[in-house]
Amino acid sequence: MADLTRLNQATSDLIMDIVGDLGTCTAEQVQAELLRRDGTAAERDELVRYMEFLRSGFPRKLAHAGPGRWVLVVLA
Amino acid sequence: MGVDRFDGKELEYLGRILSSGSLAGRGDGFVGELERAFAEAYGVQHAIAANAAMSLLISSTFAAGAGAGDEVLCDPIVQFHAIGALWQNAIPTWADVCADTWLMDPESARANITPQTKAIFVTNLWGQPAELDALKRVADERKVVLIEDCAHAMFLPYKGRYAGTWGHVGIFSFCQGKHMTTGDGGMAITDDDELAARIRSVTCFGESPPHLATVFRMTEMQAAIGLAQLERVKGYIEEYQRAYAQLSAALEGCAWLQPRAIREGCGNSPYIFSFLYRGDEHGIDLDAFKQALFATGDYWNVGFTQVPAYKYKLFTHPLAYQDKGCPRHQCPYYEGSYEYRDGLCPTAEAVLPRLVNTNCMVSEETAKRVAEGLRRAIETTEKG
Repeated sequence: MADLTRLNQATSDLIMDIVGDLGTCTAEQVQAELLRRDGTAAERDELVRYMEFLRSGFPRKLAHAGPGRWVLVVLA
Repeated sequence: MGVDRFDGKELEYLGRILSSGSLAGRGDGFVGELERAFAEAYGVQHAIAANAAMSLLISSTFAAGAGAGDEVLCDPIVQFHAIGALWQNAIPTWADVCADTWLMDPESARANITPQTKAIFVTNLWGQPAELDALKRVADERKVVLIEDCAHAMFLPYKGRYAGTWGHVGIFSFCQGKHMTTGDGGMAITDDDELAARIRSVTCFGESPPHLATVFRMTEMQAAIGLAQLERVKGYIEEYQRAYAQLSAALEGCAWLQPRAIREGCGNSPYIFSFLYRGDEHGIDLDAFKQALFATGDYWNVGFTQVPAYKYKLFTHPLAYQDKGCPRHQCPYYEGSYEYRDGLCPTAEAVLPRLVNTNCMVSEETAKRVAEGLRRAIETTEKG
């Protein structure tokens, strides 16, 4: 199960994999996919906060893609 | 959170528009009134409103005469003006930034101007002004147009004048989260009659445009809210300066976090509070610091975009025009030979992954709480 209460590599990788698979997507889509793939029932606000921190990632990172939408960016 | 941003005359002005029955932007309506008020506030001849600052970056690239085969010199921390250049089929080139301010280095700008360069876009990034006098000298010497991106720089003083008035054109953003907001929206200012006419001609046209133009017009609703915001924005900025001071104090005494320099003659219209992680020089682990920042419960960003704009695929690959190679990869009009490569802007490449940012457009009370969190994060990280 993903742990959104602290930054950790397994959860970060899972969320970035999900966004990468979905393409441009909303947090709600990621939330649903987290539940489906991992059984994690994440609170939306908690998930969005975690996703905001994943904008700090490298070489993969999340980026805003317009209002309420997210995309995975691969920098290397 | 932020200060009471919509407690002015917004509703009163919006009511007037609905009573008038006319919502489209009008010169004799709120759009014209906002343009006149903005020009007066900045002491310039022309102010041109648009639906977004991004639209004005595109329009001003055209106004500067940049098109196919031309270069537009950009700074590499943010991408917006380089995207504006692409919309005019012009080629973004890059000047490096200064290591203490992360603002365009005038000497790097001078070194990167070529015979193909038509304009320099300088960003007054995150509420601080670049060396605008030096950049204007460079632009004048090389006969190119200096366009100031002032999206983060409302009423920002620089050596006795506001940022936005040093360049040939200054462009302001009113999107949500800016010093003053109309939801989306922007304003270009200039004292140059010809540049003003060219910007206006492609920002909105009537029936038969003189050039390839579109409709970037601001609506009356945006302008009404903008006018109400303009009446109050200096008060917001004063509050954000108090917030910035609170956050700055949290860095005092920390040897491994480098505050952003504010040079002599430069004001500060706080937009993002930013500092530099140098923990690797002091045995402090970046991941531990990130974890500690996460634990504060506040929003922090480490590394911003991680890499300079010129490393993003939009610029490195021929994506802008349906993979056809324009503007940079196969342009028959381009007579230059600009190479996108690692190390193009070494300071920007070194600084970006180390940037630590948080929003400072908040009340002083909120900033006190965030600053306490930052102090805790520093202490936790140092304890290992």
